[in-house]
Parts: sequence; structure tokens; C-alpha cells
Amino acid sequence: MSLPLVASAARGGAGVVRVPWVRVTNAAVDPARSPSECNAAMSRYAAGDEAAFLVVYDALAPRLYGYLVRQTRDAARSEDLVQQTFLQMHRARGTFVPGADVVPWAFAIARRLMIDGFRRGKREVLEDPEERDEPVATDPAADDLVQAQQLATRIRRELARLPETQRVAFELVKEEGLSLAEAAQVLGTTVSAVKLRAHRAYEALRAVLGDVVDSASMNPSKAATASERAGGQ
Amino acid sequence: MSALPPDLRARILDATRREPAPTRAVETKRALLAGIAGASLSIVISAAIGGPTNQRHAFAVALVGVGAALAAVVATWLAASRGTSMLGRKRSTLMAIAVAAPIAILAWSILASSIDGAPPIAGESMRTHAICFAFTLFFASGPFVALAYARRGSDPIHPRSLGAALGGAAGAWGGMVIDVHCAYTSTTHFTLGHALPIAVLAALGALAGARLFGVRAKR
Repeated sequence: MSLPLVASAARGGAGVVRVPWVRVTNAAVDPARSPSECNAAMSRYAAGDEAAFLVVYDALAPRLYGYLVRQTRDAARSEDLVQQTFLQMHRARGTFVPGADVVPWAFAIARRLMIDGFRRGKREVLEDPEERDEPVATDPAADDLVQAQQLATRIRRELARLPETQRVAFELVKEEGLSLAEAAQVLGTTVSAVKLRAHRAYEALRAVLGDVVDSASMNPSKAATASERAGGQ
Repeated sequence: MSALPPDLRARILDATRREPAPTRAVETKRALLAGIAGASLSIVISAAIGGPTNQRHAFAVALVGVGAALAAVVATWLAASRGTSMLGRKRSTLMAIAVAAPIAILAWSILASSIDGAPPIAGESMRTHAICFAFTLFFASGPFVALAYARRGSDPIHPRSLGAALGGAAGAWGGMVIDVHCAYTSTTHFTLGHALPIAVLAALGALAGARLFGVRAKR
């Protein structure tokens, strides 16, 4: 499973910095849980195998929660949305189409619930990336981490300026690791439309963050190594 | 900030236990029963109303009924089933159903009448158009309620398009019943009395789609 690059301080878990579009394997997610296994588990759950729900949960919950936290920047709200998403899936289990993809379905439900919540006026005041305190290094060893945090803040700021359609396509594909086909299903559009939107977002980001994009996204393994170095310090 | 809370799994499992959901077998049984009940009700209503009260040939009535029923079955299958994805059919497919349903019923009604060879029986008054319009909506309301129940709160992507498609499909059933029972065969009457209400139901389905078919959090 591909997820955003995570640069974290190993000691004390001081900070987690997500750098969009750079994807590395996330060790927190069980790699054995492949999408097909998840689909099969959901099918078993639809047939009445209650234990299969745990497999579905374990495969999806970390991804959904990460996605929702990044979107809402509110852990409690994200927890609630994850719970609502799984409840919706649970209620609809009797209508589950055997062989259907669970991942885009779950993401689409989560996204809809999030938008629905915003529209109902429950939207919390989102943290403005421009108003966030810039992290300050207190010791030289934390320099890399601070730089990563600053980079993430900068990217968030630029992402927020993108048109909604481009930003969402970019986030689903580059941040959440969905395939183009899955993202197209979540957004109810075509693969080529998602590809175009994500590409335009990427180009827009490249125009303003050219140095970062060229050095990090074009060489994810290099960026990951740098991140691991930062995390290991 | 983004570590998954350890107790979330237990909470979700607890919530699912408190709210049992039907399995696929139960859901299939329910759908079958609903289909049988709906079909039986339609037959009873049709029998109670009786056949066309004019000189239309039985062959023409059967022809128009079978063709319209076929169109309604196809529209219902396309609109109500999800295909191979839990996110349902594409928006373009759903909108095509909504648009095609009234056109198909209208085209088939005219074609079947022309095959019959009998001269058109005009019903050129607004009153007759309005009566058929109302009856078509009435006949379509049962299927629409059944389809809406089956797909309630299930579409996180394009609930309005789903509503339009289900409205079109349900309208096709109404169009089928009115085609069999109606005495008039003019194109104007078919358009205003039989096809227009299908389009209206599709539009109403689209309007109510977000509320009826959209995924919403329980308050």
C-alpha cells in the first residue's frame, strides 16, 4: 500500500510530517491486507461471517483515518467519520456486490459524510496553514525534521490554493495512494479526467515549488531515505 | 495527530452489534418478496381497472404492453442494480436512463399503434391528457416507492442522477400500464398523457435524489 512519506522523530514521537505526493510503504498498515483480500473479506461479511469485518476494518481504517485527519485536521471529528463510514458499510452489507472494490466505496462514503457534515454547519474552523506556527529547531539534530515540517506546511498552503477538483484528485491519487481507477470511482468521473486533474495540480505545484517537486517527487526513494534519516535522528 | 485511536475498533464493533444489518441472503429474500408484492399489486389494480374501453385490437394492446414492459424491465435493471461496483453505475448511464425511458415508451406506443394499422383514436382534449398524466404518475408511484426503498441512502457519488434514473424506470412501469389501459392513440396524447409524466417523475427523482439516495450520517 502506498501512503505519503512520513518523516517522524523517533524519540518521543515529537512530530509527524506528511509530505504529499511522495509515496512510500507505510509500515503501520499491514501489507498482507491486499485490496483483493479486503474485497473478499467484505464479501464474507455480507454472507454473514461476522469476523470478516475485522479484516475489513484493519485494512481500511488506518487509510480512512489518515485521509480524514488530513482533510479535517480534527482527530475527534475524523474518528467520528471513520465510525460513521464503517456503520454505513455495515448497514449496506446485504447489498454488497461480490467482487466489488471496497476501497473506493469506503473512501466515497467517508468523503460524502465529511462534506455532508461541513454542509450541516458542523464544520470546525480549519486551521489556516498560513497561520500555523512555523516550527523552530531547538537543536541541530532536529533540523531535518523542522525542514520537513516547513516543507509540508508550504505544500499544504499551495495545495489549498488549487481548484477543488484538482486538489481532490491530487490528494486521492498522490496522498492516499488510490489508483486512478479508484479515484475516478470515488469522484464519480472518468480515469482520464482524474489523470488530467492530478497532472494539472502537479504542474501547478511544480510551478511554485519547482525545487521541491523536482528533488523529492521525481525520486521518491531518495526522499524516503532523507526522511528516514530525519526520523532516525 | 494521525495515529488511529486504539479503542476505535472496539467502539465500531460495539456499534455494529447494537445495530444488526441484514446479510445478503436476507436482503435478496426481501427484494424478491417486495418484487412479488409489487407485481401482484399492479396486476390487481390493472384487473380492477379493466381493459381498454374502445375498439383497440387485442394484438395491439398486447404488443404495446409487452414492448413497454420490456423497456421498463431494462430501465429498472440498469437503474436499480449497481453493476460491478458498489458505487453504482456511471452518472452518464443513469442520466441516459432518465432521458431514454420516456422517449422509449413514447416511441414504442406510436410504433405499436402504427403496426396495428388501425387509424389513430384521438383524445384531443386537455382533460383526457390530464387524466392519463395523473394515472401514469399514480401507476408509477408504487414502483418508485419500492425502488427508492431498495436504494435509500446508498449513493455517495451521484444521488441526484440515481433519483432521475429510478424515476425514469418507475415511470416506464406507469407508462406500460397506461399504454395497456388507455383508449386513445394519438401522438399528442401519447406525448402529454403517457410520456410527459415519466419525464416529470425523473425530474422529481432528481430533485429528491440527494435526500432519498445520498449517503447521510444518522443524526
